Amino acid sequence: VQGSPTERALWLAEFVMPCEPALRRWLSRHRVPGLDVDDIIQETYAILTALPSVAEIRNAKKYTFQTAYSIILAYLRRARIVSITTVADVEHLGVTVDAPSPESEVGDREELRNVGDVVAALPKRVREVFILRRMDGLSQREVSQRLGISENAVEKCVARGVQALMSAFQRGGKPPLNTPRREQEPETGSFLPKIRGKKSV
Amino acid sequence: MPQDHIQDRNGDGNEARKGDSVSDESVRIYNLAAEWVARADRGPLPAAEAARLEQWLMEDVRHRGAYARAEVAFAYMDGRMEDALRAPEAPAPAWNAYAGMRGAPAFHVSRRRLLWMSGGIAATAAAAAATFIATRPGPAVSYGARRGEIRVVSLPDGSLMTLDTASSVAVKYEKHIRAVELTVGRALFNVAHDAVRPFTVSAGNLSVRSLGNTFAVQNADVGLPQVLVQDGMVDVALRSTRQSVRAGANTRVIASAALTVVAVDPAVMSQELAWRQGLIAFEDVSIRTAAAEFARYSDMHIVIPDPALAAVTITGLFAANNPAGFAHSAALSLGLKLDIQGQKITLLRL
Repeated sequence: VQGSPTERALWLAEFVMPCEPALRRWLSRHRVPGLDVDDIIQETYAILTALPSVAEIRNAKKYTFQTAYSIILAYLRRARIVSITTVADVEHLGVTVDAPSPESEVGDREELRNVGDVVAALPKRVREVFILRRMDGLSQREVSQRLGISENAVEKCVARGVQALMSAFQRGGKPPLNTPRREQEPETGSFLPKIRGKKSV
Repeated sequence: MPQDHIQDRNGDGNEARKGDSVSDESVRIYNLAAEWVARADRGPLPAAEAARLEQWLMEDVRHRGAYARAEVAFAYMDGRMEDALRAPEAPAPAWNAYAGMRGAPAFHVSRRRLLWMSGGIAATAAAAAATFIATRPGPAVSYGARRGEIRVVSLPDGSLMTLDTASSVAVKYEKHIRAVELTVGRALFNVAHDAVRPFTVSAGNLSVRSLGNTFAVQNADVGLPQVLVQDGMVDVALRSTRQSVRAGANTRVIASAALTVVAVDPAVMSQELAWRQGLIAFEDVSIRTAAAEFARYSDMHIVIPDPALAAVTITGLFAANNPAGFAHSAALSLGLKLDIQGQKITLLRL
């Protein structure tokens, strides 16, 4: 089926997620009172996922920024009270949406490298699971048999890896502060890393 | 396995955006989304869990966004992350203050394997799970846009619904049908194609059936009940007489005693759909009608006591949430004066 969710996820991974750190920087520079950056990011993904087709999108980065911008506009439209400065800021935002700054391209590459660092620092077991699951194409069940661990443990490793990536992109590829490099293997309990520290800049 | 998802939020998620706790809230949502994606990657979800996931997704656009983002993160962990995944057991600390001074990147992007080679199995499992989730029967879910609000809702099958001001719908997805009831107002539907599961919209006496296209439906409270077909094709039926017509792109189907199909110029079409951008377009419309249109979007009302004056027509594109701005430009172009008292704007001859 054209535009199936996973095709879309691959498209988003290829073109949209890499520019997420830049989008976050841009949104953080132009904060709209009452609107959380993560809310905008999440809604952006929701909209891009729900698009009937992405075949026509030639410049995914620009489109992503415009989508986020449209969310801000929609928010302002339904907000009862909006200060004049907010409106002025958002008008300025509208001017910058079509012209992401050149230095942001360099920043993007740097951040993607840092994301690689975050993945490399994941517990070995998590990385093994992802190698078998995503590089070798085994199912979660097959991975559990290969590694001799429970299917639940495999699932937790997958969740852990996904969380690490989400959090890495959220921080613009920067590592969390005060986090021990290798934690316990995520067999049990609340191993979930807190995706905080995004305001560490 | 994802747990404790449902209890804390219910109904219209847009109500609950709070101040400082939002960051923690989004961390929580991201973590849950990652767990759901990991869970769905195991294989098709059992019915009860699929229903819980669906409910969670329907609750809040942020949940759908976070879930999408988690799927993307999972998709991202492929060939491009291979070097990082295979990194030696104890590399130099990956995150320290001197990371920027280490020179060459430790893990450059590798594309040794094609995306879809490793993605194939995931794709099958995820598609199966997605189909399963989307076909689970469930209770109708209601969405509404308040006065002055324009709301975009993404539905689990990828269809997109834009609700105009003061509009509400009830959505019920079942195995063989995607049913939406437009109870009040006006909405635009971008329907994801599915030849075996029609998308239907009922609005009063009107009933619309689509297999995947874009159309807007307007209920009797907005004006003449009608369907605007922007692209593709729909079947429109009148429930009272069972009359039905098929309408293609750039047409309008008006429901009065019978159904009438008329061609609509694409320029007029986009003008009439300007409400999607929070704009109202008028072309030779009386100021009385224009004032009534603005009243749908705001508590600020425009009053024109002189009937002859109210019949004067105006043309232009205006921000729906700014009736005062409209009144000012109407006054300017027609040589009128304004009297603003609280929530009431009166337009008078000079």
